Amino acid sequence: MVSAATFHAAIVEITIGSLTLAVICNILCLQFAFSLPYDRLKLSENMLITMDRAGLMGALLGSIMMPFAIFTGTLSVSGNPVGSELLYNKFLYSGLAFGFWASYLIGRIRMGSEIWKSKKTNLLQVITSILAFTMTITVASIGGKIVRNESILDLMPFWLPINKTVTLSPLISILLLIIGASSIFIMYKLDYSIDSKN
Amino acid sequence: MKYKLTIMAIIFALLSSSTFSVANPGGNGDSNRDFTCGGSCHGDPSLSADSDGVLTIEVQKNVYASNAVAVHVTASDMTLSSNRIVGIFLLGSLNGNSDHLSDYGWSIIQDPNGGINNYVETTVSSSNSVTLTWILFAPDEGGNYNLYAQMNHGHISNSDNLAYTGVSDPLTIDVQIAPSNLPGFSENWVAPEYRPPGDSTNIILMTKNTDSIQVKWKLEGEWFENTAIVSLIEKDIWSVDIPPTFGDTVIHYSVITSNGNFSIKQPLLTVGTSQVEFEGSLLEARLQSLAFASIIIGFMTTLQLYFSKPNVKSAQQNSNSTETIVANKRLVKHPDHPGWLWDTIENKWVIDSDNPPNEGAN
Repeated sequence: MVSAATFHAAIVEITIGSLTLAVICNILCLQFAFSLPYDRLKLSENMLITMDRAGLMGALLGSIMMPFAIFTGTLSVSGNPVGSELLYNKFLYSGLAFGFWASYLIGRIRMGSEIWKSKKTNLLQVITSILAFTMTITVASIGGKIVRNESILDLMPFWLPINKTVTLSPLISILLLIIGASSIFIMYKLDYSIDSKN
Repeated sequence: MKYKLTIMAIIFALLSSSTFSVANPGGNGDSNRDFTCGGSCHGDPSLSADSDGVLTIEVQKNVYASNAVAVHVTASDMTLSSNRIVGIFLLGSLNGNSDHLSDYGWSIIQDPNGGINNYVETTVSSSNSVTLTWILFAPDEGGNYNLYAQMNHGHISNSDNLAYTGVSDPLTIDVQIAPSNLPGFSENWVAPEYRPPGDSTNIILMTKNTDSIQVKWKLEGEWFENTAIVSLIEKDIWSVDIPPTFGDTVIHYSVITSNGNFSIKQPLLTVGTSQVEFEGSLLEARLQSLAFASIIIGFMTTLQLYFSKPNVKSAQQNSNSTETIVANKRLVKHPDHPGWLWDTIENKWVIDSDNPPNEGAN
């Protein structure tokens, strides 16, 4: 019988790999709206379209695998946050990573590849995917800390806090959840009403 | 080609910069272990090397059977790895199995880190010397007993990835038969390792052959000793009032056990302050994670809408103004026909909506 920890390791590798590809492609998509000073680094229109599609597919695959990674992580021995701030943070950063990746995907799917043409939306999309990737590797780093007591991020002079956390009461979390869901709903209604007026 | 070679060289350099590790560079944690962990990398001749450090063991002059004794182990002059962690064993033999002190009649009241382990890990300061003290109960039987110390550590320049180990010379201790009524700690008593922060519960001490005890305590790093209030619960069980502590505070306390014939100063003991227990639950973690995700999605998608819709609006406005200009070019005013506009495409007169004529007719 293969344990949940083995499944967790395999799924995490797929997730991190896909999301790494996505963030690299998304950064290169900056060239849709911003011109580079060095001609040698400039990508052709076809290559940029490929980058956009690869970024989308990478983020899509990573985001689909992420809940499985969280689920297998919970089933494996390292999944119970009771008594450990490190594990509690793993849950929180997973939520933040999922939130940022989902925002990137919503924007890209809703607006299509046109999202890269405007400087503002292009920059927003790239920043979103960089933040999403930062949260993702923080989650992976916590895994390394738990299993090996070290992580590649130890080489960094500073990083997001992972040993200390802030716990919210379940009621406040539910309130935040309702506020978040409401803002998504209102945003869609607003979007629909603007579109119908136009 | 040169560009590709540069990228390949960078990738190769990054991969080469990672180190292969042996043993457990971050340590294994305090535990009860046999010599070389009973066959670890430090014990395998092909994976280990001799430490350049020096290990010495010291004990007090007179050691009495079934009484407390402090054993001081000093490790010095070893070349350590960058994390400066060293693991030190106190052993009864070097067989590789059944080396624990308890296998030779000793029992641990307190290890240097406050627990009851024969192997502890510590970080060595820049002075490159560290002294660790175990408080033991001597065996019940008198006679000669050997004690050994061993240390395991890494090395700063360790290209062969070897695990370094060093062993002390044996220290032979003459355990003397104690007078039958010598006052001391009870064999059943284990010193408390930690107290919760702010805990004002008294420390319970168990003794034998003791009519009275005197306890003095001091904070770690201070010299001034305070006398603790002691009350007798029942025969040979004492309640010692030591003030509550917070944060990383460690208290050292010494006990003098007395009866009518003897007064024995016992080895110095320590009690630390435990970390505040984290109380987050699985449900809280999941809810908070979902809440953060929904807030992020709500915020980011709203930003997307905010940044994208003005473009549509401005495009719409541009489109409307173009239509007005085109319409203005199509309809031409004529001074002879006020209130009428000439449609240059349809070739007919239409009413000027801004300035309608008095009589509305084609």
